[in-house]
Amino acid sequence: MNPHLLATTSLTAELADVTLAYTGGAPVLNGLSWQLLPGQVVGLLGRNGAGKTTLLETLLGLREPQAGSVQLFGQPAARPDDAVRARIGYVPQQSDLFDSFTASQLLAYFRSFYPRWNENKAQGLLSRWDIDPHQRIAKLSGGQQQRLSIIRALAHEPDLLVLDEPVASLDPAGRRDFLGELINQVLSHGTTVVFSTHILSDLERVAFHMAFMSGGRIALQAPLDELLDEVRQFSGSAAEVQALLQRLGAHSLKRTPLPAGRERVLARLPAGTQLPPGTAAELVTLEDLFMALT
Amino acid sequence: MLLATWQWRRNDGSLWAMRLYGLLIALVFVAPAVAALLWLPPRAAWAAVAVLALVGLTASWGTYFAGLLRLDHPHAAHTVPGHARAVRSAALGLWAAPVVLIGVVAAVGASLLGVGDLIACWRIGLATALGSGTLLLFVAAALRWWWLWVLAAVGPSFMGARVWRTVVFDTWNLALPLWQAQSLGSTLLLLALQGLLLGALFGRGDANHARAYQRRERVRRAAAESATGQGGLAAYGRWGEWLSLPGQALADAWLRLCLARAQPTRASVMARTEMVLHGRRHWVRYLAAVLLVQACVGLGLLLAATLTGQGLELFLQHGRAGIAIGVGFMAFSAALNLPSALWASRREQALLMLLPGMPQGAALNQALAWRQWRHCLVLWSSLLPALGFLLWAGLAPNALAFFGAALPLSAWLWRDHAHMRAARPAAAPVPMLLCTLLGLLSLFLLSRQPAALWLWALSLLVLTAGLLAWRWHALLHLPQALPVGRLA
Repeated sequence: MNPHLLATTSLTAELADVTLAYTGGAPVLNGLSWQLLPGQVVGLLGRNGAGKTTLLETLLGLREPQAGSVQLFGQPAARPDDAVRARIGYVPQQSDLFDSFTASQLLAYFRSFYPRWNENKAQGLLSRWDIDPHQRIAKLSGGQQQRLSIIRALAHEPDLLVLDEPVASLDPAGRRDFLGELINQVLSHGTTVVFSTHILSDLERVAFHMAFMSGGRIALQAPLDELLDEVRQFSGSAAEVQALLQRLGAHSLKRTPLPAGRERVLARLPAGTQLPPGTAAELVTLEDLFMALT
Repeated sequence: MLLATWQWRRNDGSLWAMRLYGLLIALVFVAPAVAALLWLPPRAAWAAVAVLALVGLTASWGTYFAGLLRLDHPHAAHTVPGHARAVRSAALGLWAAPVVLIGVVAAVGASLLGVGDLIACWRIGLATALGSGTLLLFVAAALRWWWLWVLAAVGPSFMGARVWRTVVFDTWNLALPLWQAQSLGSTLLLLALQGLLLGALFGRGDANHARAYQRRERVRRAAAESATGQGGLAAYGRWGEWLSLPGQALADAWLRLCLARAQPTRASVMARTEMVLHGRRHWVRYLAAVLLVQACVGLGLLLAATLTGQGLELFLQHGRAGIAIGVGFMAFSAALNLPSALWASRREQALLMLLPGMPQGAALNQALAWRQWRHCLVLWSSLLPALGFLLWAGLAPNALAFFGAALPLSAWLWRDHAHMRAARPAAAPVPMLLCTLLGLLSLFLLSRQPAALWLWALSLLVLTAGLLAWRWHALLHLPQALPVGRLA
């Protein structure tokens, strides 16, 4: 087993009943509870404005909730000690940061703070991802800035990697490289990864756990494989569908009323459930789940 | 279309500032006008009123024309039917109406005041219309090509006053008889030509238009950022980048030094953090700029004294007000620009807060406060050559009045950064205006009562110490400063 996994037996992060609202606004996080386990790779999905960035910033202790508690590696997230901070890597949504530094200055700057720093990895990625180390960050393209931000977050080999839409500026080749590096990181270090994105095909490729965010809460979190196996869409008269779901012991995720007393229900079946022959149930895709649950 | 200027202000929440500045400007114009009407003879009084009205009108025209230039977007000109024509028509209407009105008012006014016979009054009206049309056209052109301001301000000095006077007088002497022979015809012809030139200031939706618009927008945005203490010389384009190279080289050297000496101590962590927190307002860059400005001004004065054979004291006497205000502004800006620098780096601060060794809570507040005050101290120290120079020339009130006003201002830095909001360009001049007012009051006091210098200095020091002590204690109870604005 990976030594990093052996070292982390407790929860990586835990949010309990967290409520956070901006001044004069409705709560963005509304009694949200969420747990991240060591080595877990979670894709965070939600509509624009659902509060994904706020959730990630709260998870890292960068925002203070009005209610609830946030723990990182067993410590309050608002005041993590140096040992905990050395275990966190964060790629924010904006990548045009530290724009007056050159790429090599940026990496040297961050290296000066961390007790552990994989210089070979940083230099290797710089070279592989074609980033001129002497170029000012302001002069790099959006994709190069994004890649540099990822290198910076990976170089100190964190145990928790939080990525807020890290592939938004990357082309398909860049996304593929990044996902490859992410998989390496997870496999070699057992890193816990939280990854928000709107590019569903990337999530499908890596088969993450999926966390669907809606109404200021995590509406559902489960491994993608399980969701695709267990979630089905049923259509029919409301009474028939209700009876069928009860018989199967299915948990209804979303109901959509249709004309003439009919309805369409997205429901999760218990693991290993075999549908009776002739049951009108449709397979769902990640996009269907996204549309229904966010 | 003409309301766009107001709507932009309304949208960015700075309409109040427009009203406030409008009121202040109105007072600045109305008060002397009323005074002139009360105390000057009728002809002189109405001439003064006319000049003040023309200045006010020119300022309004500049505001509206700048708005029209912003509306003259190349994409809209290229794709929206009638857009370019509408913008051009609005500008022409806005220019022609006051020009005609000014001409008529001048002619009628001259007639009522009995300046001359009907023909003379008619000519006064035509000349005033032509003059105001030319003035408004120049303002419009200078808004289109900002370097015209520089040319108008510096050009005559470079050409030499005598050459300039000759050119102007020769042209005037040549044109005057022609105009007098055909006043109406030549005025109409020249106004029509000006109208055509005004229309030509707008683009045609082609590549040239796109490039020109991009350049103007870059300068406008850079100026707006400068007003709030953000951005830098590089935002002005290639020249700005070139001018910022020395400061950048110094900042790079300081970064190398900080990284080479990096230790897991609070002082070392904050020294490295400060490079990011204050960014382009870091004291190393400021120090370089302030010393460079002083060296240039000093060399300029020495050169002028050597070339003219006049004493250096004479130049200092003549330029004392400008030098004092310049020194004061540099001293103010040390404190006034730091909050906006913190605001500009707020996104980087999220990453800094996750770095091992970064202080937290009250410890961070006090570490940051010390860094900010140290920044001011270094920059104030860098002004000592200029202050020493002024004191040597016996200009103590000018040297100290504005500089002293900056000391208590430093306590303003120690505030609740967690609740900070974005600075608005319209509101940005207010602290500077207040500082200037305090500086002017100090100058008035010290000029009238030189013996009060020590008492004035002691009062300012006590006030500064008291404010700093109060804020230092308050910092212990304020929310963690970084990332700034997260609780706003």
